[in-house]
Amino acid sequence: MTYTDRFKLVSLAFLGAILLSGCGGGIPNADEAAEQGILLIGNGAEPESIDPHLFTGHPDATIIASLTEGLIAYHEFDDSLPEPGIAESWESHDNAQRWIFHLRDAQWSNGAPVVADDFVYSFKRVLSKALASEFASMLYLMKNARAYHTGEIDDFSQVGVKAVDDKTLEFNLEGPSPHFLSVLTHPTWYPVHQDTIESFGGIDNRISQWTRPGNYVGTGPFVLEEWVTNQIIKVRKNPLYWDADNVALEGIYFFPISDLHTENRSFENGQLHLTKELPSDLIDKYKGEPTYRNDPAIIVYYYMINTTRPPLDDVRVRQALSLALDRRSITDDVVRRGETPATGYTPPGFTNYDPPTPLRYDPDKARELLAEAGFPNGEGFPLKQILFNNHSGHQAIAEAIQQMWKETLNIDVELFNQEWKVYLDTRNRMDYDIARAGWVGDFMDPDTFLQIWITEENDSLNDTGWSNPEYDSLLRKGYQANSIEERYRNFEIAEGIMLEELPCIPIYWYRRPFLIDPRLKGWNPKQLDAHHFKFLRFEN
Amino acid sequence: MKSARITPSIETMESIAETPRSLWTDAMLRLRKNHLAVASFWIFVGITLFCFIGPLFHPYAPDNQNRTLRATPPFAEILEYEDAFGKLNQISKADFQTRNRDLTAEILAEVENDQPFEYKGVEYSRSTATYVMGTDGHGRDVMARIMQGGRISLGVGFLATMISLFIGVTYGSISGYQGGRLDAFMMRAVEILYSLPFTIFVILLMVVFGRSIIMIFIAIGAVEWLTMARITRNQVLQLKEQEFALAAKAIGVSTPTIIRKHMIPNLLGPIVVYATLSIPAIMILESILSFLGLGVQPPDASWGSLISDGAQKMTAYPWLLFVPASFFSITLFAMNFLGDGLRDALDVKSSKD
Amino acid sequence: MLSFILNRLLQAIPTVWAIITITFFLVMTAPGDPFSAEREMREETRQQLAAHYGLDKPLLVQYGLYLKNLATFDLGLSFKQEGRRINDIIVESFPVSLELGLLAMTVALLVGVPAGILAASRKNTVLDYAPMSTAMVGICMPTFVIGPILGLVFGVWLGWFNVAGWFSWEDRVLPAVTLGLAYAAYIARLTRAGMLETLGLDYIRTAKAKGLPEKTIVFKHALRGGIMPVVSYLGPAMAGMISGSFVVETVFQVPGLGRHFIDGALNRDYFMILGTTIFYATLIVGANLLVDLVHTALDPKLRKA
Repeated sequence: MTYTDRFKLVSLAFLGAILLSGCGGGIPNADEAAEQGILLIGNGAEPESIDPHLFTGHPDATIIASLTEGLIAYHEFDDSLPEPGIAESWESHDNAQRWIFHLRDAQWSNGAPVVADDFVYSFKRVLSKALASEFASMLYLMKNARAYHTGEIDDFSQVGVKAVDDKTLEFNLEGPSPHFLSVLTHPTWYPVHQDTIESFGGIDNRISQWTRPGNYVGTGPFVLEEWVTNQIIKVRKNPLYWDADNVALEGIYFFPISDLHTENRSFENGQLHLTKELPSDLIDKYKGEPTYRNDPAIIVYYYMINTTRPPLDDVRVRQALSLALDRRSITDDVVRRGETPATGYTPPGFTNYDPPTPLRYDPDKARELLAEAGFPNGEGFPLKQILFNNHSGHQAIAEAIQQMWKETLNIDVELFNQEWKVYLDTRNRMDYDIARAGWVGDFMDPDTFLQIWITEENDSLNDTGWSNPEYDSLLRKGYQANSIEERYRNFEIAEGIMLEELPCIPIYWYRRPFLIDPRLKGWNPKQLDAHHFKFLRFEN
Repeated sequence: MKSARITPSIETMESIAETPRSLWTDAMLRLRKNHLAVASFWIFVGITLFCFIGPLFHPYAPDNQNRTLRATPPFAEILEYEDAFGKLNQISKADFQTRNRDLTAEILAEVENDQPFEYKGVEYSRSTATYVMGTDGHGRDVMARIMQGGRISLGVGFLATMISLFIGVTYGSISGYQGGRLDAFMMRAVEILYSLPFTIFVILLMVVFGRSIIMIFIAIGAVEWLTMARITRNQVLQLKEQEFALAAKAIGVSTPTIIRKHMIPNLLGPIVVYATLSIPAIMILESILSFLGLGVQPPDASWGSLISDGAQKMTAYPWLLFVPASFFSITLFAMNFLGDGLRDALDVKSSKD
Repeated sequence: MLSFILNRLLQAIPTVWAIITITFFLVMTAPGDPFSAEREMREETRQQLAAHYGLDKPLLVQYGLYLKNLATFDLGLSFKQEGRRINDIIVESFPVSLELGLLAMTVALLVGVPAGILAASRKNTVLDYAPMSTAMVGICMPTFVIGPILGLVFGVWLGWFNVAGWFSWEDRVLPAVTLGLAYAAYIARLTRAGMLETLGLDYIRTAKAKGLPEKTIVFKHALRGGIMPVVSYLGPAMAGMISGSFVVETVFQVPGLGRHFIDGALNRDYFMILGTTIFYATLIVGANLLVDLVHTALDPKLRKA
């Protein structure tokens, strides 16, 4: 072989390798997809798990919502209203402490009938210790569920749920729970198919392959068709879904685009019908456009305070820090996504719940309180750190707050950012002074926000070291209350105590800015951002 | 007398050892004829002075947020007003108009003509402040941030290069000078290290040891020394066969002294060339770390983090990308041209390979 | 030749072992906890999880177990992607990174080599300065700037290509060009330098004296020697492209291995970081071996030695 031949050979082999690597099929653009009834969604991130009992975040929940339906489904307009799902009807007794659900003739996507036992099995699965389900404590509403989960009792039949017959499910709850129907929309309460789970490693197998395409069995309007990591998850219409006649979409493609600007370019380029989130620097550009939406959300952004570290253990210092914040300036000048400056802790949007809203901007009062606490004009105030996870948005807010405290109180704080997992670890070990945090409501009852501040068995899970017996007892009184009014009155007083003590300083309440193809109808503003895909359709 | 005979011979050797220095002067003369390289040199000096001396003459601090003056384009016209809490705020004319849609024609005319006016009980007047490079998303002066970012980027580039030079030159001279099996072993080790995924290791180091500027220097320096070790070793191999080195050895000058006194001065050429070419490479690496969020801690910035931020916001605020990217690429251009010029002038063979 | 290959293979094994060991202890001692979550987990649940993944044992035992599994090519389980094996993830995503790397390499060669030849054969003219300055832009601009700009211009404004995804043939263009450009610049510079060196050699002068046409001289005679630096550079370049593609993968939403590495590193997905790093290192060791072989095959002088 001559040199040239050899060179050609190497080049040929090289080109061959490229050609062999092959190319897949294309994806329809937004116009073609709308025509075909296929929804193209930017879903924010690759889901960690689409097992309803192991799900961790919003991207997971969105996909699960297309594949599986619980007793109560997501309502079309209002998250505080119940939408019949697998349960056709229900009744509550003993002040909403005992609930009976009547199941409709629904089928799993493999054709098996959905029976009450499926639910009992599913709850047992969530509560089995080895599964280590992140949201297992949501099921503690059921009598003895906590005892079973922590291993105090071994007999699941003592847990407050039983299948009366194939189509009747009865719950015995720990206390009156008027919000139970809303709680049931959370994926942790969704059923899984017993035989499928058993054939893929059993009830508490975390690494089960049952969530892979071809294996997944659900009760929802769609079935899992294809899953390519970091690329796409495709679901197509499930003909066996009980309400299949009313499902307009033929399929949904979920794109796990984590970079908001890449997602925005994709939308602009006609690759998406719906984006997860519009980056804040583009909001001014889109305001007023038919594609722009900014929906309310029940999410609060706050700064946790380590109440075990002086001088932050002094409530006057915490109040001074809070009063020194010009929240309006943070929302209008820094975040600029249409957020509401927080005047209290629980975000507005819970019907009939009217908590106190004492938070305000009062620099004089702030300086006065700080002086009372022994730091006139900030003198002698030890240097503290603001911890936040590595994200430009949090950084901007931290920098603004740093400057506000400097200007108003003349105190210096340092900024410290960590990667997400390190940040969480630092927070859990309470190795911080002040830390950025946020809380997303899981269901339509203020308890979803209040419960994180309760102290249980002398064990406070709120990572601030704050514990207040009066708060705890008011919350417990609320849990046992016989009417929703009584429940909420107790909650309101409890929240007032917390806002007085300020183990955390609420900053603002979120909004959800995103872009939507105007042809897509039925994606209504929902507080929980939980959407039932059967209500979606394309109209020209 | 024996000693008397030896002394002049050492002097002779030292004068031989100094001949490369006159080569160095030659090279400088040659470099001076390369206009592109000379211009690059002065551009580089100018940018460095701008970053390090500039803040002394610049009225704005890099971390001072002017929250009402968010994302203002370069040379925007600025209004100032006193808010309810007695604080003097600034807002750009354009932003004032977009935020207040209900302005009367009268007010608009006054805004246009730089007249003081009152709106909703607040007195506005034209401010003399000018932000030559605009402000960023938090209302910070971009020029001040460019200076600060430049100090960090150039600092990282320079210090990491120094670290890699120190390790590389030491390692390479020992390997080359000792020769034999030690050389074979040491060079094999370098070849093996060459086969590691570098970027991946820098990222791992950043993840494991947390982020600080010092860590960035060390992480980058620790993986960038290999090329230098190779170049040094090859040079030393050639040099040690030359007469002055053989002579020094023959009269019993100790090895470290020979390396320090006779080898390293002769290595200066390749080292300088390599350094000018590796500073840009390190600055690129630093920018990638910033892109991944593993770079400097806020509120500090580097050019890399400014570019990364600007690349995100380029549709809405193009100057946030354009300004730092220009500084970054002009500096890199200059360093590369200067490096090429030095290489030609010093006649160093492809040092990058 | 065979003993050369064997020798190299034998050297590769301790290298890979050293990488495994260093990476293992680096990763396992990194701050942060893979199981921490926003919703505070009960300590017992956490311990349950740690036990599930074998993280409750002493570090040395874990190391032993890891090596044992590695011997059967089992890279373990991902924490972050529930229930997925690292092996499957690599099998799924590496071909994507490889394809991206090969395409980018093609772009780099198709742009870099001709630009370098042109520049060398027209030294110190506009045809030298113009391509070399353009090449410099590729070196001076990070890919995370070039990527979004190309996406904006050729995607959103001109509508020629998709700006995200990895589905059709067209989706390959922008990521490959973005990644290739940075390397095209280096290749152009290497080609130019190599060509200039060979063009100055005696046999080329002889050829010129004999009156051979310039085209023949440049392409038949000079290119052969001038291209050698580029061939040596291909190995490191390919390694850099494949292991450094995560920026391009993020910008264009390409489902390659690089993103798994970055996500793994940022989420403390221990086995994912370990698996991808070890895989990359092995791959690069292998690629270098291959380049050595190609080099030997192309250069008769080396073959004899």
